[in-house]
Amino acid sequence: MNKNNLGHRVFSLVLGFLWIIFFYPLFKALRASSGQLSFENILRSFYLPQSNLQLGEISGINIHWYVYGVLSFFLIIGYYVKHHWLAGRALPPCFHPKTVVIAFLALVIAGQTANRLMSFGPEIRYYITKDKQQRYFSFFRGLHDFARQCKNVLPGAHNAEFISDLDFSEEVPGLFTYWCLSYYLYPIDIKDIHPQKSKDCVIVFSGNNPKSRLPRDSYEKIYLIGNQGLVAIKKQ
Amino acid sequence: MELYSLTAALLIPLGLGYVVLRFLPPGKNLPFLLSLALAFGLGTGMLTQWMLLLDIFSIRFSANTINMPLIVFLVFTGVGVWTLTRTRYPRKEPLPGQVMGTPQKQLRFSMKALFVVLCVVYVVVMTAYVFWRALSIPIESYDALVKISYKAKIFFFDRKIHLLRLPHNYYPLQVPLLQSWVSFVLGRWDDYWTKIFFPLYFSSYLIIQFYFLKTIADKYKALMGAGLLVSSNLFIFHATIAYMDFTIMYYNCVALLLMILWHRSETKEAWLMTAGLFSGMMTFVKSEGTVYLIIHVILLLVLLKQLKGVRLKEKISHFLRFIIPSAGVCSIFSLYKIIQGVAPFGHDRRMIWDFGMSSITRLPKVMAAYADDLFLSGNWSLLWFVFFFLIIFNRKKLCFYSRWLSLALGLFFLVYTGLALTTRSFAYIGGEYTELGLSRLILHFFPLIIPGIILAYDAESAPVQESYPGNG
Repeated sequence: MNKNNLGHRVFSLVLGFLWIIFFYPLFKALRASSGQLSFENILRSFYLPQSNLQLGEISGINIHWYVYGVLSFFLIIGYYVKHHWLAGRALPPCFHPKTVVIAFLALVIAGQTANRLMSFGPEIRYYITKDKQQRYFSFFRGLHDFARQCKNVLPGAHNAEFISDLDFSEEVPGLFTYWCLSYYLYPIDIKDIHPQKSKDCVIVFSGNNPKSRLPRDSYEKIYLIGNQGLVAIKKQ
Repeated sequence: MELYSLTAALLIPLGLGYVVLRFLPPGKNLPFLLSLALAFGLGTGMLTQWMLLLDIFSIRFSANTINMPLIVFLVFTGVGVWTLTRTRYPRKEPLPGQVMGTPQKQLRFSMKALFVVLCVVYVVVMTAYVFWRALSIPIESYDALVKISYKAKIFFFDRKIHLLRLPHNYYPLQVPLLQSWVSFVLGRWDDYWTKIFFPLYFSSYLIIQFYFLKTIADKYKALMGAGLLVSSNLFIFHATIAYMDFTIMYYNCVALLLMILWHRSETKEAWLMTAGLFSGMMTFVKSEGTVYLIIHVILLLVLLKQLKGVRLKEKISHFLRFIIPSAGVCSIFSLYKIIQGVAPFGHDRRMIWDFGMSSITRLPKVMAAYADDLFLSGNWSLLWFVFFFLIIFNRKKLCFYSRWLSLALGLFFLVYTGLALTTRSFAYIGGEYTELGLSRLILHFFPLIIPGIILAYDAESAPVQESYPGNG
């Protein structure tokens, strides 16, 4: 046995030892919760819809850790076989580390794709049965509808004074609601994009007793929108 | 009806890009699909630069003011292109590195045939889903509404860019301008159709990558590359929402792939100039584009250094062929901002200098955030792991382009690590908002790992470009 081969054999044992230290607790935890373990649970962990692309967990541990655990186990075994049994000769192609890694990649992609396709179905069915207004509603609740009603009352471009009880120092819901309304109301401008134009109307959104929130001014018409909103057109 | 008018209007940016490609030597006999894919990127970039130019000359936007001059231009140049094509160019020419005329083996029902069918079905299903989702769900996410589509709506209704009054006015304008252009074509604002560009960029990138991979490997690996790319959940997701990240990814990665094609080609200048145009257009998509342009210049210098037997004068000439179009396009919006009195980074809190001795303690957090995102998130499946594994495993056999792509990825990570250590952008790269920001930043250069994986996997047979074609 040459010195180099002995080094590889020692190294493979060290790797195996490290693997046990690092991954054994993982599989011990898995064994403890094997009652809840099912193929479906494992499959679902590879793709969680509506989760900001986080992966699922098994026994509180990210599914990819298990993949890395099993993958590194195979790689260490391959290394061991090559240097203990084959005395450094090449492994058969199907046991080659590159092949093993690509095979694991293919497995993960297959699991993820199966799960992804399963989630596409309900998503497509959900939206396909809804018209455009209902789709807006599923994201913005009444915001889009409020903006639509305002635009029905005030067609065209306007400069509006915006009054609301929302707390705009909070990003959600205050600021996000304000930005959404700015977007959906446009060309009714509530963000002062046109400072040179005078404000010709007032929009009250999410304000209790909205009429009482109107500034002292003379108004041509006042339209109530729901319980907490109104549009008032100023007299020119 | 709207679909027809929009499809007809899309011929304008496609035509613009196509004309540029036809006048540049690499485009004379490119595969038709590749020409279309490149033309789309070039054309949409040119269209938005044209809209910016109109605004600089105080010409109000409308379907006529934007489109009519371009249609006239296309009619005239179209005749020129047709004449040139008829008289000067041979019909077929290979891409750099591609072997033409090799007899195609009859594909029997075998593992390979099954592989091809699976890959094609997978890519087609994902592409169909991307188109469906992009056009079925309205613009709904915060950044898309606030930073992009709100501006686009202002451009559409006010028919001009009033930069000073815009929210986040230091942001580049390509995506909002494209969205407003769709609305001008339709004659009304539409929250669905204005997202049409994202699935089109998606398809365009798939095609470009496929043809690129065909030049460095065989068609099976090229197909596998397409499959690997669409296996990324974040890549798919961003092709369906109206963020700028997907568009900047497109320009960034296409520019780098074209630089490799240039290095391997015999009609160098044209590929390099096209890469320069893509790099320049990238700076008009997102502020990060300007930093990426500097990275592109560094990577070009590495490619130039690698050219053996080429005189310095010639290298300078190559460099200029890249830098003139890229810096030229980049400078238009920069000058426009200066004239309008807008600071380069406006009031972007993320860019505020925040560096002290304690900043170094952020480094472990940044590294942990990278590791968590690359290896333990649902964004990229195992692709980053496979890439690093193959690079390390085959480190002694890697070809020049593998090393070059690794350097490119290293530079992108270096920039973000530097920013995290010295500015408040740490909050998005290791800090409290990492979940919101980091994946999107990595998306900008993620597709580069696909050719990286293919080249590293085939390290023994990968193309080695150690000499200057024609001189080596």
